[in-house]
Amino acid sequence: MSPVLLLALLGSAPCGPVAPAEPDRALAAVYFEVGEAALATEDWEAAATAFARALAHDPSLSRAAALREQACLSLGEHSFSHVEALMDAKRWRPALEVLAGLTHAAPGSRALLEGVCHVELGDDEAAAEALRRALKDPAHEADARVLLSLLALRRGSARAAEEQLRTLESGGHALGSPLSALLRQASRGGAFTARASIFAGVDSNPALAPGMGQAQGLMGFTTLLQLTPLGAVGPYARVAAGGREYPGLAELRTFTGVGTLGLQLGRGGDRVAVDYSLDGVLFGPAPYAVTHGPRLEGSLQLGPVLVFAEWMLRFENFLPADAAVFSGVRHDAALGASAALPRGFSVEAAWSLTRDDARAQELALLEHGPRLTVAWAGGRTRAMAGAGLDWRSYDAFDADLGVQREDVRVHPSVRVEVDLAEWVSLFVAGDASFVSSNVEAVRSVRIAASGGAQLWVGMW
Amino acid sequence: MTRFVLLCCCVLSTLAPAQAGDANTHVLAGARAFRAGDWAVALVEFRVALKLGAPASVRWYEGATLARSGRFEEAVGVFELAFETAPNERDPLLDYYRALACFEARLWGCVLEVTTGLERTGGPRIQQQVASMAAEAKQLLSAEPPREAIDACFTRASGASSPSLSRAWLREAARLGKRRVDRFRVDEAERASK
Repeated sequence: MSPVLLLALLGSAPCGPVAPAEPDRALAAVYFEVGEAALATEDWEAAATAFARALAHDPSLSRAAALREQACLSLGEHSFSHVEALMDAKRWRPALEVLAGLTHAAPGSRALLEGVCHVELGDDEAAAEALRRALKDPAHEADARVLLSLLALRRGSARAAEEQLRTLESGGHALGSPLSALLRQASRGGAFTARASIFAGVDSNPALAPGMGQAQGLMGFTTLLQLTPLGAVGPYARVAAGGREYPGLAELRTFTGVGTLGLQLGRGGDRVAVDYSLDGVLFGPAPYAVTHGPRLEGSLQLGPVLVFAEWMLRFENFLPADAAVFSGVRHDAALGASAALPRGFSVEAAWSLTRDDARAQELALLEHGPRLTVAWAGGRTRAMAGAGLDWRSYDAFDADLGVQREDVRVHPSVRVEVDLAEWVSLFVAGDASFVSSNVEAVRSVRIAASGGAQLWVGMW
Repeated sequence: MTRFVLLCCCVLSTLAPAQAGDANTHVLAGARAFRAGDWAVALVEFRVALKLGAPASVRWYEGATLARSGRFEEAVGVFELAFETAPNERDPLLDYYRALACFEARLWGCVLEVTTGLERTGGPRIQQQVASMAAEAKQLLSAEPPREAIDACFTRASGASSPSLSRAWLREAARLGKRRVDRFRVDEAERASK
């Protein structure tokens, strides 16, 4: 055997093109026999190798070609099913080790699976390299581009994500609305994002007067600037501001501003974030309150269920002399779980707990209760409906009210958003609160409805 | 692995001249593929060489290739055949692969038998693995093997994918039986394995 033929023999993949060898029907028959024996023991790789060698020496052996195809099919299915089982068990590193040995497998499929494993392991560089290899296979180009866009989003490069998705969209790929939704997310994300909304509506009882109150028109705005220089994982900074005005009640005009610095570790469902905020509130024309404090939140993906928890501490300082008694320390905590449901629905349930240690003991309170939210997202539309129930009990007898106050509050809400374009959405929202209490003066009903537009801008 | 190729060359020297043009080439190709870690090619080439008249000692290489590719039970059967047909054409490296195949296929008596005298041969890594395999087998066989274990060997023998693997299980049953005071099914196993 010539060295060239020997090299071809040693270097050729069993399911790749067959390198021609010196015609030899007798030798081909021996290889064929060895292949059949290997096939009988389900040694697919040896079988494919033997049949390939048989064909190399006798290309007219159609039976060898058919059996090689069968062996290669089984080899691919067997190998990939093993990898699939490992990936299902979230054993990413063993799956990568098996993939490394699948030299006979289709390069595109192998590269895509390697990319998925690296994505899951958080090894972004290796993932990007593997996915770029998968792009070369038309059968896997779409999957690879979507994963590359997710990687880019994860690294905070919304423009790179958008570029990948636009390539797919312009190719008329059948990924459809999920792709469009992701594209909108990409165009709205980035290392620096800005969001602003304006709204107007009506509030049946803005002053929470006893009973039904008197309806007023309302209008307002919100803004949010967010900086995530290293992407989702890493430090972040936010500045938010908002205002609300009732044209008929100038004294209820409110402006708020919040600055936050934080750090997020982990991504996806398994994450934890810690931050510190400084808030200021203007009520009417004058400064009303300054609060600050840390917040800790985290979530854990347990199968289909995402479990989350949050705790926030606020040192509150109410500035007007008549409101100073509300100053103190406030804790807000929540523990809940959410899960995706079929057809774009999701559900979230939580229990919230608030402890307000106001300076005046009769104003200190404990409040807790359940929350339930059902959300739906489909195409350009998102909808959410939820409700909460709070039991609030005050710590001490209130001499002015002549009673130790106990309240129960139910507060349903709904919101529907429609994306008009990648950078603008319209929304309508409604919320209500029904307060019952052992103090008649604070029993109230309030229903508000508003509509508006929200602008999104993502940079980098 | 150089030793493996040298061993193969020794095999080639034993081939009759008429066979050399056919079998020699495939033994050598198998050895090179083995050295390159291409187990499927190595296996095919060794088997082709055997069909073309290579000596039975090539079975040892076939067994080693099966063991390296993780097909341990098949390797046990092939090593059994090699031991029956060319008992003296082996070396410590091939015995190591045989011990490994027996270990992975849970033939503890075979592990003890093959590793005896092997612990002082081979490189440090192989010595360590041999010692580890031998220690585990010794511990498992420190007590009298239960009858169920011997019965299980008979069951494995009857369901074996090849006659040589069946004989390997029967010999294992005999090994285990001899470690019992009542020599449970030893004669039956020895008779059946012949």
